[in-house]
Amino acid sequence: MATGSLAPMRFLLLIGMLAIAAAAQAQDWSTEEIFARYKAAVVQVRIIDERGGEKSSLGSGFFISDAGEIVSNYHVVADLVEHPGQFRAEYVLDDGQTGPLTLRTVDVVHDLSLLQAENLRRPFLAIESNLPAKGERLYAFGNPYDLGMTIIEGTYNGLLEKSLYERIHFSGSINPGMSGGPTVDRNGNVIGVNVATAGNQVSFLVPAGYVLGLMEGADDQSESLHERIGAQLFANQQRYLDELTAQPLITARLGNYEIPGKLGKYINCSSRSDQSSDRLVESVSYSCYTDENVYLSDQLSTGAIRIEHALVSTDDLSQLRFWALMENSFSRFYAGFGGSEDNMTSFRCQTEAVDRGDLRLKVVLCLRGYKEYPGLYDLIQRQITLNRPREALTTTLMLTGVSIDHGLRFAEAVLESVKWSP
Amino acid sequence: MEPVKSEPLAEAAAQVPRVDAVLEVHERSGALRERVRLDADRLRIGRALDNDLVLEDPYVCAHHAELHWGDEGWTLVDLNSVNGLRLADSHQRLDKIALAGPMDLRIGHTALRFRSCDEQIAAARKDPTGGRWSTLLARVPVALGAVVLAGLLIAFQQHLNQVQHREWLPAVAGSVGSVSTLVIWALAWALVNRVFAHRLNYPSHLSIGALSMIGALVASTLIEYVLFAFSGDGLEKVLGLLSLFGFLAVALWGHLRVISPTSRSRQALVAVSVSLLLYLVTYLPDQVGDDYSNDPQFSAILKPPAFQLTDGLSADHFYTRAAQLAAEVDVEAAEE
Repeated sequence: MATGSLAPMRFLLLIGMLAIAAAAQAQDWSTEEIFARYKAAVVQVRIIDERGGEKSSLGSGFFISDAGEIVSNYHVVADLVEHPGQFRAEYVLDDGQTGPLTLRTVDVVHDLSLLQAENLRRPFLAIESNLPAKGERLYAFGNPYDLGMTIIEGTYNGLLEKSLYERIHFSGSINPGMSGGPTVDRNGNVIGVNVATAGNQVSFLVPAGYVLGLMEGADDQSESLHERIGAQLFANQQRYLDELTAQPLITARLGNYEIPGKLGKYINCSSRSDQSSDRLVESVSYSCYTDENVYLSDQLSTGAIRIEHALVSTDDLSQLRFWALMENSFSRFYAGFGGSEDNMTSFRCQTEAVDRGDLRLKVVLCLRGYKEYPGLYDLIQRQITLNRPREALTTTLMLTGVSIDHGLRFAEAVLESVKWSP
Repeated sequence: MEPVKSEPLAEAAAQVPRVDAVLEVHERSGALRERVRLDADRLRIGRALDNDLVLEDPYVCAHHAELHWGDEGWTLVDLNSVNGLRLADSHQRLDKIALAGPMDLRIGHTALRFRSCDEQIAAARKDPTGGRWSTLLARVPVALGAVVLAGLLIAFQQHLNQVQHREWLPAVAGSVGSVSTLVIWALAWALVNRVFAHRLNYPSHLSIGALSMIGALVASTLIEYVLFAFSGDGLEKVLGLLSLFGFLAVALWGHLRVISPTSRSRQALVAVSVSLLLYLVTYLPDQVGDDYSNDPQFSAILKPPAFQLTDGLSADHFYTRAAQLAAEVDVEAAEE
């Protein structure tokens, strides 16, 4: 995320902010006063199906200037990008007034969109890119389940530590329909944009600082929206894959093998061994994955890393039976990827035996391309060790939305980091 | 009905030596009912018992026609009958037919064939049923042995693939289905055999079915091991199908040869065509159908590592090839 030229933008916004928030500085407003002061700056965003004429999805948004600029989530307006001409967007103000919205730009990586309402001057909110102190009270605005404009009180609980994408942990109930709405501090400054929930008052916000990045270059006409999204996805995977491959991968041990382990703080690892009593093979699985991804459409998410290992060995089975078992389980593989023929090519795979020092492996590498974002691929690498007669380590790497250079470099790093070290 | 005078014809016949001929009476199915050798200059045909050839046909007159030898050769003459004479493939009524063998005729509803004795006769066929192979395949112990061996091979394959069981029994039970299919397959061929050649030849058909199954099983296993040894992953599907339908063609050819000893090459053509047709019907829809999937379709042959004979690629070489894979993906993406 480019932050170099944020200062002038923040300055301009500060002028606007003063208009609404100056009087609030020294005050300790109650929740009802905060709701009354800022509800006029919050809107419901409706996505209307052109053929049916009725709403197809709902979200929230808020004004960030007196020129009718509205911020919401990308996932609220994704239909406008994915199916151009088939959907339109409109706003509903707190007084029930409605009007059309046009999409100006998006930031898919941080799930933000900038919309424009023509000839509409409304109160607007200021952006606060400095994060508050843990425990500070925050107020989330939005329209949950189309029930009407709502305010929800909660607390700021810092940034997620184990996340590939920066998110604020907000302890308050954000519900469907509130996506894209603002969460403000008691001075009415936007701290974050409502984006997701894990239920039970565990909710997530996009830090407001990214809104400034969204507005920067919003009027650049040199590239199409798809080209802009493609560039964002490219830069995003470059960010984390360059970081991961900058040094040798952090390894862990699984039996007598060294394997790529918890590669970064945003990678979550778990393991499990087979406990069934009458088992003929011993198996231990070890998986590492990112918890987040980038939403592209209701069918397709991208920008995630997943590495799964399974160490299988036997004392009871003959070599023939053991390898028949491995052959069956190796090819029977479900990635659980989304997408459809409209936006993805089918997978193409190559299977080869690969020698790496004294370790022989069979490696399958599969790629499919994003039809709308040329140069981006989903990559699956599945490898199995062939150095032991009755023991095998299967490693599966799944990367979504990567460039061929970055993807293959990381896949090679994963292959290289698997070692036999009794 | 008065018989016509035949004296002058008999006089003329004395001048030319008679050509030996036969007259055959056929069933409607085409099977031969009766054959009469023409060893006199005259043959009287009709329903009355004083004829030389008596026809039990209600559409034939008591004295219907007369066949006699004369200057013009053999001639069939109508004796003013109700339904007259016809050529087999014609509806036109004739009073007189000059005969030249072989010729098919009709009197009433009875089919007759006139054949000259100097007609060209095809050379005798060599009897294929007495060959070494066919004698061997027809033996019951061979058939049973082949079935048992096929069953054991299937059970072994099932045993390899069912790793949830320690014992052999589930695998043997699993092979019963395949063996039953084999038995029914052979029975179906035996019934076809019975229809066309009046014999079942069941042991031969059973041997052929079982041996083909053994062949297909052994070949598919060999193919997998050879491909594993030389890292030929990806070829196993096409080679496997080729071998499967190859053995199907061999089996069909074998069954056809047991049923009827006609031309070998024509039977081979039929067997190969039927196998090819079955292949197209079974597998072509997969190839041309909508095969988009969000999951990758790949195969990798895995056998005990000791069977691998060649070195693998270096990692660099592997990823260079992967970059070419990306180029193929780009081509598909650009097609939209």
